[in-house]
Formats: sequence, structure tokens, C-alpha cells
Amino acid sequence: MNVNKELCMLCQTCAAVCPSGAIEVTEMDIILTKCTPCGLCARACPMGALYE
Amino acid sequence: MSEHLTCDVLVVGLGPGGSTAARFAAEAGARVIAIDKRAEIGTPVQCAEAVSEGILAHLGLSAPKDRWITWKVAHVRLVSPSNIVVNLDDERVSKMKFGYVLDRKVFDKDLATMAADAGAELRLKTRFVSGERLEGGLVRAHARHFGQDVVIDAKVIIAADGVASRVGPYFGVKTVVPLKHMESCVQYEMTNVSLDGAIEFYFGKDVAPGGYVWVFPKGESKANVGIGIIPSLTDRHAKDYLDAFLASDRMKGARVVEINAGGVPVCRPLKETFADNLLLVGDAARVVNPLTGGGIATAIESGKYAGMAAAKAVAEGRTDRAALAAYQDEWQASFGKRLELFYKAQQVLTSMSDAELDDAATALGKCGFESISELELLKAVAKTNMKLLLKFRTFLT
Ligand SMILES: Cc1cc2nc3c(=O)[nH]c(=O)nc-3n(C[C@H](O)[C@H](O)[C@H](O)COP(=O)(O)OP(=O)(O)OC[C@H]3O[C@@H](n4cnc5c(N)ncnc54)[C@H](O)[C@@H]3O)c2cc1C
Ligand code: SF4
Ligand code: SF4
Repeated sequence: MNVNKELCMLCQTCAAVCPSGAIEVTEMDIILTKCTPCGLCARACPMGALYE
Repeated sequence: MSEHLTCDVLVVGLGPGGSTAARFAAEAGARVIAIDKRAEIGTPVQCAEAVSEGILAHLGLSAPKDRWITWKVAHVRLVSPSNIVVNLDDERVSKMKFGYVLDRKVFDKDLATMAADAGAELRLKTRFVSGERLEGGLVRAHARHFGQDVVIDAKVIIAADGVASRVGPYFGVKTVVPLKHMESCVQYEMTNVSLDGAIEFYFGKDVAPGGYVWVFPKGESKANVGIGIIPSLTDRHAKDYLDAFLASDRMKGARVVEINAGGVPVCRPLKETFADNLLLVGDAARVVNPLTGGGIATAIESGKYAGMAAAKAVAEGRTDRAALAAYQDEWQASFGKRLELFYKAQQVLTSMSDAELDDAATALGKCGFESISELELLKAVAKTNMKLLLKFRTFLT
């Protein structure tokens, strides 16, 4: 998964639905670890900031 | 360099749930450390800020502080997909309990301050990274603070770190939210909005699939205008729908002064909101009203019970599962049944077609009812409309 940081609000919705704990959202950054993309995070994102 | 701290109760997250837990644990005599990754409590806001009057009782306050309240709710308006408008502002309001639109930047900060005043040690800009169990019934949290490692050992950890809780998984509690139970939200705080004091809800699959658009006044012409959708019902994103609403006549002339985003877990609560040395509260425990997406009140109430349960367990020298189980009984007894009903209602709502939503609005327009709670609304709709009766039968018993 990839993130367009210009769209990201650091809201953590993606991290909450990720079944493999591959997303960490800190107070100033979003960190994506390598995953087998299931796409759930991209759909959950209110801003449409995530893409494959 | 790393810092090593010890305490009785470690609270992770200083939202309404965590601040209340920290306060009640400290008031009961526990040594409390409460951490939050933010530098400023309550900011950024990720909330539409509406609550019912009832929460004050749980904070041990008879009246809200004036500075918490931006609007007192006395008029509710529901708008169906075909624009059938239901105004709940007539005689039906006489028995209505007031609600408020809060200023959460002020409210959340005050709750955290109350925790600090009660003796809890607050540590901001301190992010929980991982956790582990130690010998002798202790738990350890690894956190980061201004580029440094902080190690905190505690007898009980209270996970109050919100929808994307990271604490639970380190102690054997799974907290992933299924997509169909995630309300994906965006909100604009707006000014120059034409308002008549009503809080408004707009429904429909083209408006907000699985959820609704809200307009909650925060002043004469200021309002929170937001949306929650269920992303499994659509390929588009919450922001796309909200921007479409902003382009409608309703929002003509309104201007954005702030943008927020967030997710609400609209599922059943976790089966177990406790484990050895661990309690989960608020969004982290999934104690949220799934119908409205409201979680402030339940975060506060669960936080209070968790704080008291943790302090009691520490005082009695036993912090295992069995010693902490009473926490779950307590919130279950207080609002467990209600959450289950609202969960079922939400399932019905998301399954309703636009035509059924229109029918429901028409039915509502005609009927009178005792009080305006979400439950009364549902009962009223079901009673006046045979087709919907089947879907709503759970609420009539
Ligand atoms: C757009 C939107 C609108 C909403 N509208 C309403 C409404 O009108 N009424 C209502 O009642 N509810 C509403 N809700 C829900 C409500 O905001 C939440 O239910 C409520 O805030 C939950 O409180 P909490 O204390 O459990 O968690 P939060 O308020 O989410 O607090 C969690 C805290 O934990 C901190 N944290 C997270 N991770 C870490 C970490 N790793 N380390 C340290 N700290 C961490 C965060 O910084 C945060 O301060 C809305 C939610 C959204 C997204
Ligand atoms: S859900 Fe979207 S906006 Fe929110 S943190 Fe994830 S990528 Fe960013
Ligand atoms: S694609 Fe799936 S596994 Fe990968 S980060 Fe997103 S939700 Fe997690």
C-alpha cells in the first residue's frame, strides 16, 4: 500500500481496519509496512489517500 | 538515554475515556501515569461534539461548565432521501431531554486537567509503541517521548487509545474493526451557515451510504457539517460525499474554517474488555452507540468504571483477569443492553432502501411520542408503518 501524504489527515481509520497491523499513525506521520495488499485500508480512508 | 518509570495504573490515551479513567483511579488512591501522543489534548478534534445531558452525572457534576457548551439542542430535524423533512420541535419536545454540542478542544482539556488535579501524572507527546508482560504480574509499556525511549511498568494498563488501539494486541486482545463496522467520517467546521437552531440529519444512499450527513450548530451561523459512511457499501470516500453535500443549496454561502477526519467503530463492544492487568475503555473497547456513532458518553462512563476497578484491584493486590472482570459487569449493567439494541437498529438502518427511509420519515411526521430518544423514534416509525414493522420488531418488545 502507498499513501499520498498530501491527502492524509492522520486520522487512523486505516490503522483500525488493517488486519495485519501494517499501519502506524503517529502524531506527525503515517508509516506503512510491507503487506499483502487486501485493500481494506484504502476503502476505509475517508480522504481517499491510500492506493496500491 | 531512556527513562524508567513505575506506577500502579498506566492510562494510554487522554481522550474523554482515558482522562476520566485516570481521574477516578487517582481519586481512589492509585499512583497513575497517563500518556498521550498528542502535544495538546483535544486537538485536532475528531468529533461532531454532540452529547446528551446524561454524561454530567458520570462526571460527578450537576451542571456543565459554560465553556464546554457551544449549543443547547432543542430541535431535531431529519431529512429523508426525497427531502421529506421531519421536524421534532413541537409538543414532542416538551419531554425531550436536552443535549449539547460541545467544544471538545475545551472539554477534553478540562477532563485531562481534572485528572491531573486528582493526582495523575500526565505525560504528553508520549506515544505507546509496544507492551509486554513481566514476571510477578507486572506489565511494561515502551513509549517514545521527544526522541527518547520511556519504559513504564504498571500493575494495570488502561487502553484508552481510541479507534486504532494498539495496546490490546500486545496483551492478547484483538481490536481490528471489520470494514462493514467502520464508520468513515469527515467533517468541516463551517461559518456563514444558514441555521435555525436545529441539529440536522440527512439520510440516503446517495447522501451517505450506511450513515448520515450532520449539521450541528455551534453558534448563530457556525456549525459542524460532517458525514459518516460505511465504506463497504460504496467505492467512493467519505470526503467525496461530503463535498457533494457542500455543493448543495443547503450549504450555499457557507465557508470552511476547519477540517477533521476520523473513524468510529460501529460494531458490538469487544467480547472481553478486560484481561490480566488490562482494561479497555471507550473507542478502544468499541463501546460506542452504533446507531448514532456517539461515543463520548460511553467513553466517559466506561473510563470511570475502569479507573475505579483498576484502583480497587491494585489496593487489593490482585490484578489478574478475575480481579478485573467486575469492570465489564459494571458497564454491561449500565448500558450494555442499550448498545445491543442500537447495534440491531444500525443493522436495520443500513439495510433500508431510500424508499423505506422516505416511508419512515412520512410515518414519523405523523406520529406523536413520549420522548425523543433514538429508541422512541424507531418504535414510532415501526408502529405506524406495517412494512417496517417486520424490520423493527426487536424494538417493540
Ligand atoms: C467525525 C466524528 C464525529 C463524531 N461525532 C460524535 C458526536 O457527535 N458525539 C459523540 O458522542 N461521539 C462522536 N464521535 C465519537 C467520539 O469522538 C469518540 O467515541 C470518543 O472520542 C471516544 O473517546 P475515547 O476517549 O475512547 O478515545 P479518543 O477520544 O479517540 O482518544 C484517544 C486518545 O488516545 C491517544 N492515542 C492514540 N494512540 C496513542 C498511542 N499509541 N500512544 C499514546 N496516545 C495515543 C490519542 O491521541 C487520543 O488523544 C465522533 C467521531 C468522529 C470520528
Ligand atoms: S485513513 Fe486515510 S487520512 Fe486517515 S490516517 Fe489513514 S491514510 Fe491518512
Ligand atoms: S492493504 Fe490490508 S494489510 Fe495492507 S496496510 Fe492496508 S489493510 Fe493492512
